[in-house]
Amino acid sequence: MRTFLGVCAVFLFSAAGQAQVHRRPGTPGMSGDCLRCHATAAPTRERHPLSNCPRPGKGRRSAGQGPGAITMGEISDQYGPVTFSHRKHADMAEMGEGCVSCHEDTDGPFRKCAACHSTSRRRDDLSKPDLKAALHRLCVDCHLEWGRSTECLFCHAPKPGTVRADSPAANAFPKGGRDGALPGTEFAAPAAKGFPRARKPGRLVFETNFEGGRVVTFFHDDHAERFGLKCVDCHRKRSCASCHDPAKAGAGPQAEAPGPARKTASMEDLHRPCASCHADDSCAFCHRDRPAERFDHAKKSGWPLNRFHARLACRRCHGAGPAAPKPPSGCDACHAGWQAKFEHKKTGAPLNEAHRALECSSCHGEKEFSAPPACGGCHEGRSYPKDRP
Amino acid sequence: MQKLDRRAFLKNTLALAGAAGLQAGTAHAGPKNALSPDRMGVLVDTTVCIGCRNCEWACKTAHGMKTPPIESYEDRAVFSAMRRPDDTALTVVNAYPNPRRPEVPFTVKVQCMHCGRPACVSACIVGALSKQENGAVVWDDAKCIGCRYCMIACPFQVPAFEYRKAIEPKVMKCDFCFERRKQDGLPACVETCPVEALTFGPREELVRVARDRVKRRPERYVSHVYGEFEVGGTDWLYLAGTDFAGLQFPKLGRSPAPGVSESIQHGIFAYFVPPVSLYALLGLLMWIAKNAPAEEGD
Ligand code: SF4
Ligand code: SF4
Ligand code: SF4
Repeated sequence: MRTFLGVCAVFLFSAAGQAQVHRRPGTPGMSGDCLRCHATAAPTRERHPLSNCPRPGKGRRSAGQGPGAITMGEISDQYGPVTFSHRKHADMAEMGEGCVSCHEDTDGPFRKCAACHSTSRRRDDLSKPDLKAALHRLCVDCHLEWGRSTECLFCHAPKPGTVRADSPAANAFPKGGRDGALPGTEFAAPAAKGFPRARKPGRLVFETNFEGGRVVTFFHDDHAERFGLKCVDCHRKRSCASCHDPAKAGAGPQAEAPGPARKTASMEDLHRPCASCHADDSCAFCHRDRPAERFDHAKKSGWPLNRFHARLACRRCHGAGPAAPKPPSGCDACHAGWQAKFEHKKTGAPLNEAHRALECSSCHGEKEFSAPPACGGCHEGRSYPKDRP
Repeated sequence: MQKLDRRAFLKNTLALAGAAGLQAGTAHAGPKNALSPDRMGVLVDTTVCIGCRNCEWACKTAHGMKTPPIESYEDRAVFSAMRRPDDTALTVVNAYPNPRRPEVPFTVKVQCMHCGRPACVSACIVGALSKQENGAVVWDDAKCIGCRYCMIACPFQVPAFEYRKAIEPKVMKCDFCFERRKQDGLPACVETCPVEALTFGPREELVRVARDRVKRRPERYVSHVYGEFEVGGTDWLYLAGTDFAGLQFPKLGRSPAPGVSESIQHGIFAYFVPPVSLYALLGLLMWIAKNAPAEEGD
């Protein structure tokens, strides 16, 4: 009994706490700005999806927690089921409203769309779209924006015997469904169907009005690929077409997009993405008089990267963040015990018995493996690759 | 040929004049052209329409008209020119620039508005056009004499004439899928629309739904439900994200397009009453109409 009362008390108190939050707009203590907490500007008692749960300990879900590819085929009559790359879309949604860009509720398990949206177009409650329309609206809103097209067969597989089945587009459809994707797996964006992959700019040069240095050069490729930043770390609330634009899809990775920095954003907003790493750098680190040259490892450190090392993300050697440790020196630091496992023939120059007994440094002075080995020390007049061991 | 005695005719026409003079919503007397309060309509939300033109295809298919394959409708190049419904297409979709999202233009489906008090019906001298109880304004080829008054009278320039046909050319216009709906079907365009930019329902309910959308999303819609009051109210209603003038909707007043004397004249034609005596009657009726309470329109 005592426990029961205790539970009741806790329940009552928490209910009182919530009433605080959920007081009607227009009453003292409520800002009247529903969108501060809700995903809709007009929440009702029945429908009040939260955009970002204001209660402690019940944070918003992230895209990574959602499923991978899913198959939607409950209501299709003209088409086969649609395989939807959920996680990819969720990742992109993170740059906007997050899960609630599509889902009505993030508090607890998501409701099935059909719980609210009728599967019949003929119905009494006309206040919300039917299921087919509700789903299509979510997809088409973006697909039309970047694709400038309403091609049904971009997503749908045709069904035999339907009006779409013998269209040329239908016959170009890959066997086994959309891109051969299986439920639960992710698949690559269908480049073959004209999907404009996200633009990946190389060097971007911005003109700013900062007197101490008007030109800011940003190496987009380095930040995205080497430093491992995700799109969402910098990009928020941009239109899909600002990255997936068929008109600019051909622009190569090195394409420059020089231009003035966005004037609409505040000073704070413009610097926020950089500040998380560059907080301790001076203004002049980015603001210069002229466009900056690309970072050159050999020039800066005196240690040129071979083609394998050049592919590594910086943090593989340097760690991440400003307090990164000094990079390791010597092969053993990363490739421990490599000498025991190393097979010289993999380099294309198998060693004979006599040479195999030698130390590396006997031929490769200073362990400088990219330079040709020195044969002359032992064999006068011999040189690699003319002569081989 | 129907022969009415003069007394009954006078009674009918007086009732007609009185009704037309009084209030919108009681336009024409008689079994046809009745304005049922439960009549159906369609709410076209142009902010939702994606310009897929599936409705164009569905309309043609449902009416047995010639049409290219459905995927050819995905070609958005047609939007470079403005189109009107004609004898080969009872409905067409046009695109207009959207300054807020240049990649996604406003797209607007055009067809007969199914006016509550249709000018085409009033203009037709033989009663070939009629307003049906379910909201549809339909054309009867058995009665039509091909005068094309309806084309001139329609404030939306909807009825089209099969000029290309020498034998039995028809007046073509959206019939609100009258035949399909007899079998309890949805209008073909409504059924096919992938995003339900077209909502089919009782007109009164649609007005409520439309107003509610405008109220909830003032940033999305202009505060105007086109057709709620235009020409006395139309059964097809429109919502838009930009001023309707920019979408080439005609700016129309609240009073129905046809005037009182016009309908009386047509009543005369329809009944074939000898003209001389009837011009006297017409004078009398106009006098009555003039003195009827002047609250028409709202
Ligand atoms: S829009 Fe034109 S054709 Fe249609 S009902 Fe009105 S007047 Fe008649
Ligand atoms: S209601 Fe029927 S006739 Fe009218 S546009 Fe739609 S499909 Fe065509
Ligand atoms: S089918 Fe619907 S979305 Fe497509 S053009 Fe017609 S009204 Fe617009």
